[in-house]
Amino acid sequence: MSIFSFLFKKNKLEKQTKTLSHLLKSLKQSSDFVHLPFQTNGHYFSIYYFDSLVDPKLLQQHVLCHLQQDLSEHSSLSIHDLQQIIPIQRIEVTADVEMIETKLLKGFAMIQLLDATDRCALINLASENLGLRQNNDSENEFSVVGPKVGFVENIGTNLHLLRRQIVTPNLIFRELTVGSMSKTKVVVAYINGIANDQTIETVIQRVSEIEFDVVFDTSLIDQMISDNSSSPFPSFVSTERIDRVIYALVGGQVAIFADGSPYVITGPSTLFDFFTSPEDYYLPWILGSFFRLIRLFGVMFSILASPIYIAVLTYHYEMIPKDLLGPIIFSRSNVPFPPTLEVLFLEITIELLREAGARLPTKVAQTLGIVGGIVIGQASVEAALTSNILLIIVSLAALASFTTPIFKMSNTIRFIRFPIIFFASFWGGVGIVFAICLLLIHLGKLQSFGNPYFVPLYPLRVKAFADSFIRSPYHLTAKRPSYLRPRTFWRYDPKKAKQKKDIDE
Amino acid sequence: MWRTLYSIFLFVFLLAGCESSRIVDQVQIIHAMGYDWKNGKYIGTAIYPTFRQGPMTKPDILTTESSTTYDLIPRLSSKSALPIEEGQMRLVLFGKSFAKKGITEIVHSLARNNKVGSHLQLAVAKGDAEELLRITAETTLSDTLYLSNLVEQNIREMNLPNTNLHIFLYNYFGKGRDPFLPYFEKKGNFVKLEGLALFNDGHYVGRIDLRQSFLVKMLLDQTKNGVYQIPISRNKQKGRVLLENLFATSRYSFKKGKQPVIDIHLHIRAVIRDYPTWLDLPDKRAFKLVRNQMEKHLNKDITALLSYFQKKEIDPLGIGDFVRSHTRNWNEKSFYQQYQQLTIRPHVKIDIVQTGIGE
Repeated sequence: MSIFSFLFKKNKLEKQTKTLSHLLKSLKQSSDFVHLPFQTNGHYFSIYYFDSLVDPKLLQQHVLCHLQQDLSEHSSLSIHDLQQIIPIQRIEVTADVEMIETKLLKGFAMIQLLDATDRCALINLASENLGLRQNNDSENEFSVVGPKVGFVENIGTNLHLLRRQIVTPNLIFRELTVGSMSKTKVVVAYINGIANDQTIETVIQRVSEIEFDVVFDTSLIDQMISDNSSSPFPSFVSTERIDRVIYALVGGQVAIFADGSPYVITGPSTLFDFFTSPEDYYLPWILGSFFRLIRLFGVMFSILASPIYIAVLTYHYEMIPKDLLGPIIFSRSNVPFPPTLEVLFLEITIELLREAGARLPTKVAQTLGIVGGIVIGQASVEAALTSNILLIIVSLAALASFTTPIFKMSNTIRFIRFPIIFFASFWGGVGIVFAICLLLIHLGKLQSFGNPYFVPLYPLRVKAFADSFIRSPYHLTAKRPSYLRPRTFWRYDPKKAKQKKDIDE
Repeated sequence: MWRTLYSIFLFVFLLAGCESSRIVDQVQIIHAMGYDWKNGKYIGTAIYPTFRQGPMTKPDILTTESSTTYDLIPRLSSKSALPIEEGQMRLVLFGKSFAKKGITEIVHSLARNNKVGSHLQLAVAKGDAEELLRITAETTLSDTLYLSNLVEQNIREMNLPNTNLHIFLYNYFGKGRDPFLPYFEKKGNFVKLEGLALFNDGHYVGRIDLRQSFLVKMLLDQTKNGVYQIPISRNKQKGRVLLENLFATSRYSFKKGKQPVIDIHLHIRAVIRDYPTWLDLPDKRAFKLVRNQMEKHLNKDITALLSYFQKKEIDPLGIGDFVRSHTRNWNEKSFYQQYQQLTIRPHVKIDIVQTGIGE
């Protein structure tokens, strides 16, 4: 943000004290702002609202209808009496112009009595779900086993979904407003008594200090509150799965919701959080651990396969096993490029396919995948632009990078392959080792809300390995990981969890 | 930040010019190399695969001659379209005349060459190395590694003791031991492994056959394979049994004194794979007879082998090294002066574990 800071200074909105009439005048410029003068039984009042924001059904059934019928019973009307007449919860009476402005812009209706114009009643008539999805099948983070309910764009629904599963008064929602233009409702959720106080403070401080205009998605918040925004690695897990967020909260992490975003940020995260899938916990621990190891192997393979191909073929032909030498030389014998260009050609082709597939409608993308994968792959081998073996390596590497459950991390893996490819092509095996050293140093320095990112590997936390490379059985993971510094350590009693209370005992 | 970026930029783009890339399909990879000494000239023969037409291709041969051994490979380059690389070399074959003249120069060069691995096989050919390599190139289809595979197979499954460049160099440079190498012969249109070539200080001095190389194999270290035929007789019936080694261990012991004695305890767990029909093996007495005769025979063979070594004044078993490890102020020169008079007594013990599936 620092590069653009000069822009923000110039465009900073100057705050001036407004009066209500000023406000109404400026709002009336917009044609969807409705002023409804109203008169029944000798009471004169005006109703103001944004036609595009309020629910017309609510307005007719709960406001206009009651005003018309019930007002006759009241001989003298003060603004506070409206709460008795209109069957809508939380009618606020205020004279604060700022507040009136925000509430009007959030879909509230304002009722003003002509006798007392200084105070107004604000009634929530916002059509919450108009134009928004009602449900989300969490298709972007699909798992075969387990619930398929995902978060939606409406923050109210999201909080509801969360509270349904964490039934404790200790689940705290702290509401903040972010964005000078969007006034987005952002909620920081944590479980009191589990999450570390310092972490909560850090999160709330960072979120409340965000200076931005429109918050489109939580990923913007993610970037703005991350500890190192120039790192390719995501600092926080962002997910649309409810079970993931609940698991994080129960483990002592903090979740950040934003209105209009189906993705929720959880943090502080570690590198391993990005490679765990909810399915690991739904399958028996041996299977869960096995698939997690496969996933980690996939990541290593995806990052290192093509650099090693370059390094071995360009510099270290001595290392090729004798039985592999023939096939490799034969498949490369007609390729006119050095291995580096060959790899770059294929890698970029695959990146193009991925990017095109993501931008196109689903049905076209499928066709494109087939055209790109089979036709281009086959043709480029037959035209001797690339070797058969490399085609297999690169497509396997691409496949392996898809195993990462979190999309942000799989993007990172797509990206960091390229610097390593360059290192490998310049310095061979030494270059790969050097690049990996740089990567490890970077990971060791990274932090997420002030917590180490590469834990439990660095700093070494031996006990936290229970749920890192492998997913241990539940009686071994009863204790929350210490690196999050939770206020209470035990999730449940591991001895009781191991007991089997059969009838015949 | 900018300084690091700047230095990375500099490193990458300035050092990228220093690359010495050897792209795998743009070099001529030699799989085997032969050295000969003929008419006062050194002849180098390289056997290499070409994969242009497919993974299965006939091996090709390059040959050149020179007055020194050093520039044989550089001279080969003048006959090749691609730079010659010895990084994948699996076998170096010495002609007998070359081996007699001494392989020191080549061995020193190989020991210092960081491109060749220590799994490289060295071997000696009766006659010319070039001839043998040509035979393998003609008779085998696409197999440039024929000879090295042959050696490895025989080490793994048969009578050949474990050899490679690493072991050769250990025996060559180590005090109190002498190197040995596999020995090939041309038999008609085939190449046949014919035992071990023995060296003294880098010079070929003699050879033993495959039967004896099995004894060497057992005496050197623990082995789990190898076969040995032993004659056997009962009353007036004569025949042979085929002994297959399952697990053999050897233990050396050394008695100091004016007449130092070395005892070699050899314990063989073996299978009798084949035996004459008149021998009823599950019978206890027959069993004992076979065992006694085998032990006696093996003792005799080993004594003969050891006296051959002593006569040639070579020490492939590393007996000198063993004595050195038991003697303070061991002196190589004085030890080998008495080497011929040294008493070495083999004690063979055979356990017949199985007799195979009879009938």
